[in-house]
Amino acid sequence: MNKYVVEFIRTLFLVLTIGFTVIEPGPVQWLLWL
Amino acid sequence: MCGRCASSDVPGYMIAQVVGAVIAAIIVLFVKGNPEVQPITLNVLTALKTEFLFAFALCYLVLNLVTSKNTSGNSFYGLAIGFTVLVGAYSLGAVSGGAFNPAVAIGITVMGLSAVANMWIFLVTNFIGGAVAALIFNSLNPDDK
Repeated sequence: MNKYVVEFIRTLFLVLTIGFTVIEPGPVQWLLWL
Repeated sequence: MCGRCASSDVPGYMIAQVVGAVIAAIIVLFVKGNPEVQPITLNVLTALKTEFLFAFALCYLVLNLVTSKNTSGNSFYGLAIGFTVLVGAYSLGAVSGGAFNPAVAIGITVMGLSAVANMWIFLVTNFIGGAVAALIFNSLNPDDK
């Protein structure tokens, strides 16, 4: 895979993790169904 | 600065990271329903020191575990880097925001976790931390090219 795509995905998941764990729990319960 | 990454690759890596961080921040805001987020209040001096310290630690760790000949082929680099990020996030998340990376700093700013006015703290300390790590690594490992 392209090295830039790998870097993009790595940062995407890092910031997603920070966002979903730091911001107060909201209407994300539907994710549990995935 | 250590010669492990071609200069021509640097802009691409930076753009990929920043785009990834901004898209992730937009996804979080969308899924959370655009919540009201209070930006963290920073003590500037403390934030400067802590962000520099962990940016340096992370860069120095990566240089020693991923790029050094002495530890080439090791299987524990992911664990070491992951636990360092974990320690930084848990211990300093409430102190400085715990970005340790300019792209992540942009991401948390887009999400509203950090104020735009504090952006310079992350950019300055993270870049200086990385540069100092490279200088120290080069001076301590002159033969590791």
